[in-house]
Amino acid sequence: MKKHTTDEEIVARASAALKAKTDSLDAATLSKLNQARQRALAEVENPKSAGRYWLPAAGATACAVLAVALLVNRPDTDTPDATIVASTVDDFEILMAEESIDMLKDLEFFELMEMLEQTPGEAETIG
Amino acid sequence: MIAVTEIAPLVPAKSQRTPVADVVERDMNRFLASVERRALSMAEISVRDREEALDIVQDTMIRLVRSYGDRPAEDWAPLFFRILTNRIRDTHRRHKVRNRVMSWFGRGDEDDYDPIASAPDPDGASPREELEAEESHAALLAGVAALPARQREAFMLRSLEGLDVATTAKAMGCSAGSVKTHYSRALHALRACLEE
Repeated sequence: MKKHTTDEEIVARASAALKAKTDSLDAATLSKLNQARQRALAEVENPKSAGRYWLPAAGATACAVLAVALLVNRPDTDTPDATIVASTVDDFEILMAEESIDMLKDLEFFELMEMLEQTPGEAETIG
Repeated sequence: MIAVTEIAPLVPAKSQRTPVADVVERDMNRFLASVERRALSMAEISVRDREEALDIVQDTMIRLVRSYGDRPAEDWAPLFFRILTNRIRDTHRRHKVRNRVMSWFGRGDEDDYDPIASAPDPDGASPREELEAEESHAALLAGVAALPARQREAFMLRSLEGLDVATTAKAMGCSAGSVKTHYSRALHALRACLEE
């Protein structure tokens, strides 16, 4: 007669198996885990550095673009070299593009943060 | 040309760190130390490679601290496991692409994962008991590893990590009903595996 395994037995045996696996981690692996944790904790000094940089960078970029526009439209004979202005604008576009990529990466977690503030059960998986 | 890349550091030097940052570091250290081993086991079961699993856990830790270190501590667990499951999923996607490319060159999946070899070695048991325990653990771990991703996530978060349904739902980014469904199907699959 086939023995029927209850849900509780399955969970208990799986927990035991996983616990045994976890307890058997060797010293080298535990050391690597500790190193990983220390690297992460170093970020506590610099929390959200990636996210916080894009605002001032974008602001500074906007100011720079404005400055270039003023330079280009300046009504005097001291016209800046067109190639320098063009390359400067190109640089700004590259900077903005990089910041846009970072923003897109963070969007997934902004959505998660929004979901955390919702009532459980309302949010579905994203991606 | 106006230099826009030289931005003054927004974070004070270590000597100027606030007491709040010290508290966050202490609490975060405690939290990460409490989950790192289980996180590694979960990742290793999923991706079947310890080095890759270590990378996943490290990336997860860094991401949590960097992006959510200022969140309340009670949010860390669902956020941590959400990031972890996402990273595991990304790794699986990369494996799929790699295997597809390899198959074009006539080389299939070279997965040499051996659940028997990776099974733990329990202490204080007779050789027969050790063998039975090893085989039982190995069979169960192999069964967990073989589960579809969402079922494996739900099962490990609920049974290994002991998260309740609501917290598991946050970690998985789905509804509580979906968690129950995935978990129930996982149990069904593992029962079939154990009763073979």
